[in-house]
Amino acid sequence: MKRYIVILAVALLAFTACDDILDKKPQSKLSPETYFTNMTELQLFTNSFYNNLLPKSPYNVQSDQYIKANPSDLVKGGTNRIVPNTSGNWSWTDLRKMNTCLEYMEANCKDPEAYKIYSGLCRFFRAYFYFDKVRMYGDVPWVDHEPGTSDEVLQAPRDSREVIMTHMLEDIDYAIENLPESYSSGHNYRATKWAALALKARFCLYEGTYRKYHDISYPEHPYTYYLEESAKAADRIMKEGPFKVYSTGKPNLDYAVLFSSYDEITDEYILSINFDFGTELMHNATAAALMNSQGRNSLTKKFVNCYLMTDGTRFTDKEGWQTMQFAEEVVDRDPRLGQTVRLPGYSRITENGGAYSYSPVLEGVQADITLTGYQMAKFVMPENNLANDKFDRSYNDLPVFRYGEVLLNYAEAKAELGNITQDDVDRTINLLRDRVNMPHLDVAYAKAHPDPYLQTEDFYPGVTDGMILEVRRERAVELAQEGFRYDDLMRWKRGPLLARPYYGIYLPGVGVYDIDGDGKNDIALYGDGQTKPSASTATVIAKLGTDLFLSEGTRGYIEPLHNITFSFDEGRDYLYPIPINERSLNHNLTQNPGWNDGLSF
Amino acid sequence: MKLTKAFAAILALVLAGSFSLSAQTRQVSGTVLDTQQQPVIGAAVMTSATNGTMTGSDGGFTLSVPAGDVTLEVNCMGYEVQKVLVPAGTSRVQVILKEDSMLLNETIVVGYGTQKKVNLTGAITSVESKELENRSAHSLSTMLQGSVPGLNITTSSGNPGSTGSLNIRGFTSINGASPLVLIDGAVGDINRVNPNDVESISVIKDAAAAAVYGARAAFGVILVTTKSGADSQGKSVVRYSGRWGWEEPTTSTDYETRGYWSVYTINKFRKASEGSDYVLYNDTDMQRLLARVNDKVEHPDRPWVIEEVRNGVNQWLYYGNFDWWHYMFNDQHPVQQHNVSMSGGNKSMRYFVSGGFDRETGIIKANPDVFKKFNLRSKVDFDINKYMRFSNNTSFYGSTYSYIGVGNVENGIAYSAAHAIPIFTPKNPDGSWLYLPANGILNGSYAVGNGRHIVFAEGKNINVDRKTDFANTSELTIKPFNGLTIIGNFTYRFHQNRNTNRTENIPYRQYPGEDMQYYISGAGLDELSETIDTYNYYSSNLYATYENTFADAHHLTVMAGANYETQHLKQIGAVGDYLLSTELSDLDLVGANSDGSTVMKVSGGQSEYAMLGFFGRLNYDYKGRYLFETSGRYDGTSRFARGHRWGFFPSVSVGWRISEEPFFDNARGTINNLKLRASLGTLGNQNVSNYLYVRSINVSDFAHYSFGEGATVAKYSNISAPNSTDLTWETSVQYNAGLDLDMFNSRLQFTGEAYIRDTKHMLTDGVELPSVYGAAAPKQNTADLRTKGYELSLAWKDQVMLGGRPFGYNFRATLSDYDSEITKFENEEKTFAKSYYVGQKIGEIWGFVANDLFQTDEEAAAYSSSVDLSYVNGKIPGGIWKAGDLKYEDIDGDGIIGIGANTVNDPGDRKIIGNSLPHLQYGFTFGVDYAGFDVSVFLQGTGNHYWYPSPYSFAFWGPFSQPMNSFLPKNFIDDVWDYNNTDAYFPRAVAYLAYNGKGQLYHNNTRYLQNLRYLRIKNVSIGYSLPKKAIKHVGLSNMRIYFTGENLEYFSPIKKHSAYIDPEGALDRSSSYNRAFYPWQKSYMFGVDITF
Repeated sequence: MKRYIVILAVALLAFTACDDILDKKPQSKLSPETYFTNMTELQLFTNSFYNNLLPKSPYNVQSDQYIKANPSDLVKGGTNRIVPNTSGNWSWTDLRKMNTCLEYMEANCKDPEAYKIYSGLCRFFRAYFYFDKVRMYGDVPWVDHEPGTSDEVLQAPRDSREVIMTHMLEDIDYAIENLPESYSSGHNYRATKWAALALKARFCLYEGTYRKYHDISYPEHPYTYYLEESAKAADRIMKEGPFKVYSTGKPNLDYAVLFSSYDEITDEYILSINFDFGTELMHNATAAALMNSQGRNSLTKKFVNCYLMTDGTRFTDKEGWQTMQFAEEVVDRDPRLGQTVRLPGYSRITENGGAYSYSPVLEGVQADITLTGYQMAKFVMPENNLANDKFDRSYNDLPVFRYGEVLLNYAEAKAELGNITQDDVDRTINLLRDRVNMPHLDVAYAKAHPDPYLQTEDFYPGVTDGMILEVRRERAVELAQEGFRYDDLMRWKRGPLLARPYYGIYLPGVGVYDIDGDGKNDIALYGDGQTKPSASTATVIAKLGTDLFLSEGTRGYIEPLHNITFSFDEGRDYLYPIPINERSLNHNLTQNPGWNDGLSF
Repeated sequence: MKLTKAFAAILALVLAGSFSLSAQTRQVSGTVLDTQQQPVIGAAVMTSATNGTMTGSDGGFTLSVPAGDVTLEVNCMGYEVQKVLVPAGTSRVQVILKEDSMLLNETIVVGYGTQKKVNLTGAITSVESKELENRSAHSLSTMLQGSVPGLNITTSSGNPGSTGSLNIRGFTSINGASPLVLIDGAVGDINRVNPNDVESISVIKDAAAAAVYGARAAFGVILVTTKSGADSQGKSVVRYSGRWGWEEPTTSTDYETRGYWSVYTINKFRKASEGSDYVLYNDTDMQRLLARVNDKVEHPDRPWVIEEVRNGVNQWLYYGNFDWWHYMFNDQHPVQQHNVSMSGGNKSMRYFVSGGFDRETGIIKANPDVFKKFNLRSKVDFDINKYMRFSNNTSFYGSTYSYIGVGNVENGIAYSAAHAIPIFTPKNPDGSWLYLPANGILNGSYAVGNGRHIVFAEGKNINVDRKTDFANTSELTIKPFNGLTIIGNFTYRFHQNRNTNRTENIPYRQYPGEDMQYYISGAGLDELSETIDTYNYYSSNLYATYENTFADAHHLTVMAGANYETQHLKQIGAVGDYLLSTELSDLDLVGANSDGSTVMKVSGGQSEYAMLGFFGRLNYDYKGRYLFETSGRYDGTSRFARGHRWGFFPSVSVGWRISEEPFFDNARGTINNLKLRASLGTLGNQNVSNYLYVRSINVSDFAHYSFGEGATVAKYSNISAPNSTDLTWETSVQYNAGLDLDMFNSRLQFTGEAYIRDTKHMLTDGVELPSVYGAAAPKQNTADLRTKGYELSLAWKDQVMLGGRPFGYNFRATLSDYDSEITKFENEEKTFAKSYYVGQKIGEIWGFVANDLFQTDEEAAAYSSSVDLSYVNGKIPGGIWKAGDLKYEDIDGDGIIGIGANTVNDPGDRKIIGNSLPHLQYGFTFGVDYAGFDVSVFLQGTGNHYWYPSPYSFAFWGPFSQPMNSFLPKNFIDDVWDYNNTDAYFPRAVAYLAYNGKGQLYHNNTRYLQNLRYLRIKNVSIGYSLPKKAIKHVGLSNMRIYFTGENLEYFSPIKKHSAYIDPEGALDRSSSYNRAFYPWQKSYMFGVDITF
């Protein structure tokens, strides 16, 4: 018996190696304590900011310029917008990662070059992150560290946009000083000093004009301070940067090629997103433009009205412009119109060994694809692979910042400051006009002749400065479908434009129409009591007042969204609502004005 | 030929057996007494299987017996069977029955040992193999549903191979935790055990009985013991059992199949909500649909697809009444199960080997999904010498589930549930597949059934889920001297999940005459994915038990031991696109796309854990009257940091067998066992992820990002959420009181238990933090929970004589219930923005009071002008409340329907309207056997159990969810409010009311809250055992043929509002993945059991 007790005791002792055998460390994951030390590690960690923050479908942002068959709730307004319980827009995950990265890098990174670049990059993205937050929510809490669970920032009230902007300026100035001017890859897929300057120019212009038009002032900085900062940042890119307006001397092609080129044109794209067929990185721009099934994306009549004539005069100054039909109205317009909207005789660009040209003429308007008759043509891929005219099969690179925008930001900042000179315009807007062979904008003339059309309720009533009006026209035309218009309306305090009727092409009444003048009938419109034309009469057969509505009943502009009510509440809709759960968890967060979140405190 | 003969012989004997042969008879009378000279009532006295009687209240009987010597067999519950020879001349006998010591000595498997049932002080329920014999469910867990009070089984899917999940005594912890399942002492998966191999299952419910498992047993332990061989003096017993049958859905699959009414309904809803139709059909089209509305099949004069020029394009227009569900899915589908076992042994060696095979064909019609399961077990034990015994137990489980689909089988069902409305036919007239209808038919780019009908029929998207599980335990038992037993064992378990998933281009044609089109991304991407997860598990136990009785009164058992176990998981995954074959699926066949790029991705991963524990138990009883037990375990785990990883979990329990007291002598004739029990103990829960206390950086591939550096997508690294390093054991303190009562010689058995379980230091997301925190809140040991419940079990088992044959019958009823309440949580202001608050009953549903629909526009206008309804009216067209809208009551009278401060004390107009936990769970078994026939019925159900249908419950909400559902409930519009239908259940037709956060049906409210309580005919079995005498001639010792039906019918209030939702399947369907799902199944099976 003794023997067995000994065996038992020995066996038990063998088990008592205890803690050592219970130490199990992760074998497929790294420890943060030894990470954040070099270029590779920091680059891997910051890569996700590009993916998470940069907009991957700028062509698809709805506004008074660009609309879909089922408009977004944001555009429709009214009861379509409610206060959500939680919202992805109020996500702070990426900010925390930036702060984590900055904190660990401080302790772990011994490579000064790596530290310089990636601390700059983190702060570039922190400014980018906060710009999104300020645009949506106005005042928001500022967090520049990894908060603990009982950190007071979690219960903090919102910081004023002045506080946030001041921090954003510190961040972006740091980024400008520390980010490299280029990367060895030769691509602009990573943020450079120039991207930081472009971001600064963008958000300072936003803030300056937002404060100006919403009449917000803080003692620390007047709105003009931000406009000046914007102009300075843009000016630095113009003076020091390697960029230029992309041009090969083909005014009817260059603008279109810029957006449809498979690979970024680094002449003009300051930061862009890489798309690639081979690795299945694709977006939907081509299908959005060409396929009936992608929401019937359409540009609007009033937007098309903004394009000048090729001689520099205004379309809306022409006799009878209001009742001009499509084939007639698009003649002799700013060449950018034909590279933005599908016009009669439209062609797809083709690519031949890197050289771009137009392919043989395709049909013009495709009446069943657009709601308005104005079909988009920008960002459509070169036609060498029709199999890719499908959902999510486009792989032309998309811009985040481009030089053209920087020029326009400069011009607008100066115009809003009221000190824009002819030289400023020649360095900016007129460079863009040169690309498309348009006459130059003359400051004195513009100041003396503010466009009455742009002062109507459909645009900017109350803006008397002719230069501001012309800068806004140029911005609308040049940056069409690049995702700016909604934000522009917000900062100019022109939200009500979203609730104006959405119009398409002009039709004089019941009849059969060859819209694009190609000899093929596009629309057959019949009225009450009339027999329905046979299916072969035209591509679209529509009954007036049932299938299709005209702005003045029996004639006028096509009103495709006739049945949908749009509204914009000026006391509410310039800012997004703070989610209910967030206010419940932090009572110090005030709700934005006008939003009923059901909470009674 | 031989078989037919045998069968005829059997049949003849069966018939013969039913007639008693008349012969000369005589009378025998007598008395049956027990050892205390008390009369035994209800004892069966028989001379043969067909001739017998039963004793009366005085224990007396009279029976006609054949002339000559006869042997009386006297049989009574709770006593040993007695055979008495009555010589030819004797007509009076007295029979003394001895109490059945087997019954008294019935043992129950407990942790690291066995115990006499009568001496138990903890809460343990045992299920014997017999109770499982008739069940034809495919997994052991499903079979246990309703058989053990307090053991709750829920099933989350009806697909082949799906299994139940186990829970003991209700809500365990807010991070969820399951009981520990040990199969012959080693951690295993209960659903991989062949039910036919099971000898017994012990369900350990309280802390006292579970304390020897310490850290893993916080929420109960289930001990599965498999069958072993017995000494049969070298003779082998071979058993075969086979079943064949079919399964079909428990719920209706009779959806709306009339094109006209589908379009009418869908458009009415969508137009009201969005201002435009969903199916853009004009009057002519609607006329055509109406003309065909009664055509169940296509009428030659009225084709379902017409080719016509529309919008200048030649296209197909669809006017079908197509039954998409039954085109894609079968209702009835075959199943079969087979089992063979052989067992036996001699004095020094015993063996048991078995094999099982289960094949279940699923519902997918064109290329059915098939689940196959194999089980093998081999168990041997040898007596090495007088002191030592060695045993080895090997089990193997293998299953494959192959199905056509995308990623998993539910995907095919869920995604086919959109846009496949009855007007469409799966194929165009030219034989090509319909995937996208011509532009302008639907309001948007919608793919019919998301192309899943094409995937099913083409049969190229073959997916296989393979699971293998191998376990081997070697055990050495040493008994050096009487009373001491030392056991050491070692288990190795290897299990692996190996999945293959393939997708292929989906071919279709949108317009007549065009080239074949292919959908080539997402579900149509040409891709093969393979993943392998391999687990290696090692466990060893060493423990010793010493048992002795001192002075004939003091009985003592001491057990002590140690346990170490570790598991390592290794994951490997690889994905490749553009394979060179559409028929073959192997990563060797990965090719390139038209760009010349090869797309391949690899992934890995591994993790491991280890646990070490020292445990002991002491049992003491004084003359079997006063019982005392104490046990405990000292446990360490790798899942917590040093300094926080060790915990001690003690328990104590006592029992008093009142029926053993001298003063109870007189009552013992009626009450043969009465015991009171009480226990108290603490257990730990280490069921947390492996490296929770370590913060880590992991590297992943982007799904969609690249910097143009290299030929693949870019990678990124990420940091895990912040954590607390001082995490430690979640513990549960449990109090249990029980009463066992056996009466009338154990004919009646009653057990009652009441318990309180305090789950403490629950590992939760701690404080819910504002999003500004920027990460998931770190887990902390911060929350407490109290669960209170009870369990009752009442059984009666007896037999009477009927027509001279014993008629046995039994029933058993079980009932259990519990309530759980949060007793600690960091949410001082009790806001609903955090998951819990102190005082919260788990499962409570807060909602608005809304019982009525407005009946006139005036009523609606008047009400909405006095009460601000803007919080709930986002989807009301134009923001104007009308007749047929739901009237939300302003219960706080502030003139605004709102959520107040979103706290318990100021909930606005909400109150608690129900509780989603299943309450009052019960089971009821009834069985009879007579003359070789046996019938058993098992009913199971729940009391109150509420559910507010979630946004994606299409089967409930129909187009109130989304108006493009493929499977519209039949005649749905009849239940929708209208001026001609003012007492309808649902409000006026507006799409998305339930789907969208802004809709009036989205908010929980009293009118649409569903009670899911149900009563289910879980199992009915009818069998016939052929007379032994008859089958002996063909070499069989036992043969039974039977029918068994599982889940045959259910009764539930939900049936009133939906024929498509099984009350057990009404889960939280909150994502598009759940638009439709694999239906819950019932089965009908015919089987035979043969013992050689």
